[in-house]
Amino acid sequence: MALVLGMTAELKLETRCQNQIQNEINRAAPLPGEEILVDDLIRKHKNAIHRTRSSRKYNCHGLVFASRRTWIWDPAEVSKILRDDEYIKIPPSDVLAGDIALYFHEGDAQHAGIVVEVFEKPFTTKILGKWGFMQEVVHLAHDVPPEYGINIEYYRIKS
Amino acid sequence: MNSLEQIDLREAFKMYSISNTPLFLMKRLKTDSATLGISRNLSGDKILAALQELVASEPRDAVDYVRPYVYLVALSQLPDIKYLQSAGDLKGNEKWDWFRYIQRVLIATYSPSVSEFIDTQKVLGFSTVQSSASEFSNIQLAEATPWK
Repeated sequence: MALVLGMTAELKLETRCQNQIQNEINRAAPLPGEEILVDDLIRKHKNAIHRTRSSRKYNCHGLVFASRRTWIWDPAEVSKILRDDEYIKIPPSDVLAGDIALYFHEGDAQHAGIVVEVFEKPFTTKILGKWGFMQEVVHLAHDVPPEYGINIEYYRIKS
Repeated sequence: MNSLEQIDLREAFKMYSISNTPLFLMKRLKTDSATLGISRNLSGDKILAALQELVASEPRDAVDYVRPYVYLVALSQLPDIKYLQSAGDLKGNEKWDWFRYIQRVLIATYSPSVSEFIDTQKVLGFSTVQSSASEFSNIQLAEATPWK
């Protein structure tokens, strides 16, 4: 049976405390011109692994907190997830692969990623993230578009 | 700068493409040179009219997807909030996912402001300034807020 899906929709997505997480999946096709920007980012971040092309179906927060299913666009929802899911802030000395990295600007989490590798001297991490509706990227923590800034905090979910 | 259509919004589109949240986009557009140019050089009526036309039609190219947000933020930089408030009533704005959210945040954080350029060469009466120093002769009093 064919299932007809709307262009945009909100998925049922809840925190551990069963609070709905505001989200939106956008099934629209890529915009003309997007591919040029994807290639531009590949050129600017040569040492990163660019895993995918562009997608509007999910963003970095959707990658980290919703298994790539949808777009979580409100930083307040990220705060809700951190609280409800009992994330704990981790000092750099204790960061492990699997922790999450949040890039903060003026108190809001504007970007997120999953730590896939930790380097000790000097300390840095390799992160799997997604840049807006551009591609998924595995990159060193500071090898991001400069607009994301470098105010990075690490969190681990309570098991 | 006579026409909104002629303004180069490629940088704004780049910001849009890497925006994970509307707040991120809004904050970046506030300091974007194209946005500032629009708010400084065009009237609220003209920007609002262009925005009305834009949201009522379909995007023609990639840049058209960010154009409404640029105009919205430009409206928030005008000394009168009425244009920004009117933008919420424009038919068709729901086609842009982040339009209503950004408009609401801009209204909630609105601070009437004016920008003024002062030519210190004229003000101080200097007449023999070296040309190499001329690029430093304009002091921009950005976002001066006489109401505070």
